[in-house]
Amino acid sequence: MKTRLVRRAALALAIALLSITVAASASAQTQSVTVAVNAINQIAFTGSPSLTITTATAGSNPTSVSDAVTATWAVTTNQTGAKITGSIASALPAGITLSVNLANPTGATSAGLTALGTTAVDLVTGITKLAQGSLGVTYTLSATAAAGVLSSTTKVVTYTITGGT
Amino acid sequence: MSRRLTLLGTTLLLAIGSRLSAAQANSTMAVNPATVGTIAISAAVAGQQPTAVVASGGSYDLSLKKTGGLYTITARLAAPLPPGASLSVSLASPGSGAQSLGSVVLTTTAQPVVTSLTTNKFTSTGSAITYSFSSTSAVGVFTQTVDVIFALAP
Repeated sequence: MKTRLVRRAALALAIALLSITVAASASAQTQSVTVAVNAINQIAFTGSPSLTITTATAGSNPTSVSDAVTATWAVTTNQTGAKITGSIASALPAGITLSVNLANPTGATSAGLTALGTTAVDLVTGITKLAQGSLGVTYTLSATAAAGVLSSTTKVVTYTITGGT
Repeated sequence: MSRRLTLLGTTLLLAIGSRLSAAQANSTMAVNPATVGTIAISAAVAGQQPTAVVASGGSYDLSLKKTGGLYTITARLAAPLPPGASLSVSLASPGSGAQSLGSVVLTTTAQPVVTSLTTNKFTSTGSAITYSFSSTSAVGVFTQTVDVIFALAP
């Protein structure tokens, strides 16, 4: 008899505790949040190289000069297949050529040393979903003897990133 | 006699249980608003990952009725975000000794965001909810609506 009483009391206690436990799960609230990442294409260039041609090998055109240490570039894109183009606002005198070689970020393709003109040319293609900095920029200035002497002139090179998809 | 005693005991315990249940069920958390406007990443510094954004998620109110004991607020996502995207939430402490854990990265597993809530008939209103959203460039372009589930539990 006593055993049965104890069992029943235990059962009742269990039910009561269960009741407490269920209630203890308490309050839940849901908040709906919309997150978005828009297309991002950013480039930056640092450094202002200065190039001067001063020598030549007799019998050859003046010796080209290059600067591969002054400038660097960086890129962030979250798209696929972005590209960098470059141009200068006004042409250099005939026989004088300014070229640039942009180091490629991971997975992209550099066009190598490319002459700059007033029409934008592709310099790096296939840039896909990355953020990379401290990339090399090499400028090369070349001139023919026929170009003569060019007084110091500053050219602004315009780089443009075109987003992919 | 013993049967009556058992019945009485059972009834008494159930009554106690249901009273406690009712008292605890009255402990509530309300989040306002139910829908947060779009939190969008649109910028980056060249060479770095997209710039994270911080946005208000409104506020929350608490009404704790149970006497004694401590409550915790947990938060989780109903569904995961793409790998490389991260949504964090920070709930301001409602006071009375409660401790905010600061910015907590949300996953589909519930994690504490506020602890040590004293349940001695405590009420508070307008405690701030703040979201922080970040994404790597590798994630690409996307939009997703996700439910953040807050739970108030002992």
